[in-house]
Amino acid sequence: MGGEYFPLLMFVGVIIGILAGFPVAFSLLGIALIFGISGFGDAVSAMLIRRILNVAMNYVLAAVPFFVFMGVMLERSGVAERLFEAVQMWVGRLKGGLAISTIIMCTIFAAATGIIGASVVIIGLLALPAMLKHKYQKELALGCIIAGGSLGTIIPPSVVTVVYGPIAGLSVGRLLMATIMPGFLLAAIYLIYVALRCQMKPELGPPVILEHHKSIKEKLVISAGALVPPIVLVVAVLGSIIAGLAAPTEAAALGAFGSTMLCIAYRKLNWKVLKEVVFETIKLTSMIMLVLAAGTAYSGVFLGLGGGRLLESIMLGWNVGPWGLLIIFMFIIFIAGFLLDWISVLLIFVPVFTPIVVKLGFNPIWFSVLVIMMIQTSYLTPPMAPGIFYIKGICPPEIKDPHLFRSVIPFVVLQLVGIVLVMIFPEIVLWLPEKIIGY
Amino acid sequence: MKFNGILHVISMISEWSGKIAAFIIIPNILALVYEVVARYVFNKPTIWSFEVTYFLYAGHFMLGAAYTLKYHRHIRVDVFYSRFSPRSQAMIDSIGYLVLFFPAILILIYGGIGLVQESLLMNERSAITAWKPILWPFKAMLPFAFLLLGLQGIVDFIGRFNVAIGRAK
Repeated sequence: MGGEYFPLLMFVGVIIGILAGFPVAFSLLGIALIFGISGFGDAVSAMLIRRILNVAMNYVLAAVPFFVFMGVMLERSGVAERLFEAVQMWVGRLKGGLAISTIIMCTIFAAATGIIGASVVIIGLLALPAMLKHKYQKELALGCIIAGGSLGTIIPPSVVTVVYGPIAGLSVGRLLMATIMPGFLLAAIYLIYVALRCQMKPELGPPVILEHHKSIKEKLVISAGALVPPIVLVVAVLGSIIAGLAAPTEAAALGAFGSTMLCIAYRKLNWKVLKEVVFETIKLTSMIMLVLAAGTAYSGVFLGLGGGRLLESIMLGWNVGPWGLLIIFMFIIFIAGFLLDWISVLLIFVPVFTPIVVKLGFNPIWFSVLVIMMIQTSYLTPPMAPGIFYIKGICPPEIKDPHLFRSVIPFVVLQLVGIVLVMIFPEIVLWLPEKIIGY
Repeated sequence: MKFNGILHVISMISEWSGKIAAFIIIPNILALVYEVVARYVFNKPTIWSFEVTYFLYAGHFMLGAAYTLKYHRHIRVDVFYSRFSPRSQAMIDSIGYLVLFFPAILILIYGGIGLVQESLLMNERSAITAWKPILWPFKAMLPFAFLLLGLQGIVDFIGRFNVAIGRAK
């Protein structure tokens, strides 16, 4: 291999380090150092620390810990139990009603928090036993929870989107707005799929006969108590970003504050819970931010060595046309999602792909949303499938790996349907930001 | 025994620095809530909100890095790793520490000290807002956090190395 291909070795090195199983952040830093020294000599120490300093001084990224805190706090608030009860009351008696409730609850939860993970566990703990008890097909039950839980990646607020903005050099506020319609589109696609399948084959999700029939008034009271507080929170956070009243970072802090108030209102907050929330928040935040800082150092060296230009000239040389290249990019991210975690996918591919996509004349916001949708898909695709990983811990013994793997297949297909729809109709992404900001 | 004592002390430092850093998020949330209220209710935005926010945010996640390492929560891709024997896993970690982790941390501490010296020499102040705080204490936080991370790395490395050479399980 000649010297011009040197940056590609760096790419190979980092993939080897990550796949060997050494922590991602340290693999990225180490490889950045080794290749940085051979490329830049002594200057490498200043270069790496400056890249990290950029991440540390990034006001927008300060939204990450707040969204993490908000998610962890909401999980402790008991809002999920209330939501599930309320939604189930209305749709439980339909064919597939519990599955539909699960997806609706996941959608509301996704709009209230920016992280997935523990929220999948919480929803799974509620919805899975209920669905199994009522003889739902295992695959359908699991698929709804895993796929529904992954909606938190795309439906704003989303930590993935906040992290994506600085990596691609795009406004986080605009990105958050751009993901609203695609996020709800995916939720709608899931709902239509589940409802149709259960209509056609009612044995997949038999209707639930409730022992105790509640009056409409009772139902409304329970629903109001369950739905109003989280919806107020969602509207306050997203609304203040959309209306331009608060920067995403401020809105995230307001959300964190609001989730704490909610926890107090539901009488769930005490010193022990607060300690657990802040200790869990710092671990999740440090985990995300260290990979991000390390990845920024890595991509600085990679681009500095000419890796970006090299890949660009190679890829433009394939002569597959703009759409051909776009589809190849999406395919690479889809495949990478089977093996890598989301932050690695973002850090390794987005800095390289984004300038090429812009050069090809595509809208970078639209492309970003496509990538974020694909990253959401990576939550479902094993072996590196956080969605499956989280749910595994709470499954009863009769659920085996093959059930889990089979359960995500239809939802991966639905994801791809959603992605193709957004490719064909870019308005799904672009309409809302254009309407609000005017460009 | 004495050596184990040092490792124990390092672990305690990681534990407590992380737990203290974990609470930084609370003043940070309150400061931003105050800023929004001050801006819209009192019509008097603060001049310090922007810098205070990223100071606290960076202190939070950087000082949490060693604590997160202590609990093995730094993300790894365990698609293959989880299928290796415990000893092979320990070997991967030991090699990773020696080849990737320690060199990188050392360079970052060195680079970080360079940043602080430069900042002190220039008497550097933030130019983003009218508050104009001096920047070296913030920058000094970076090499300090990497030092804590490196120390916790030593503790973890020794544990993993002992497993790799078969001296511990």
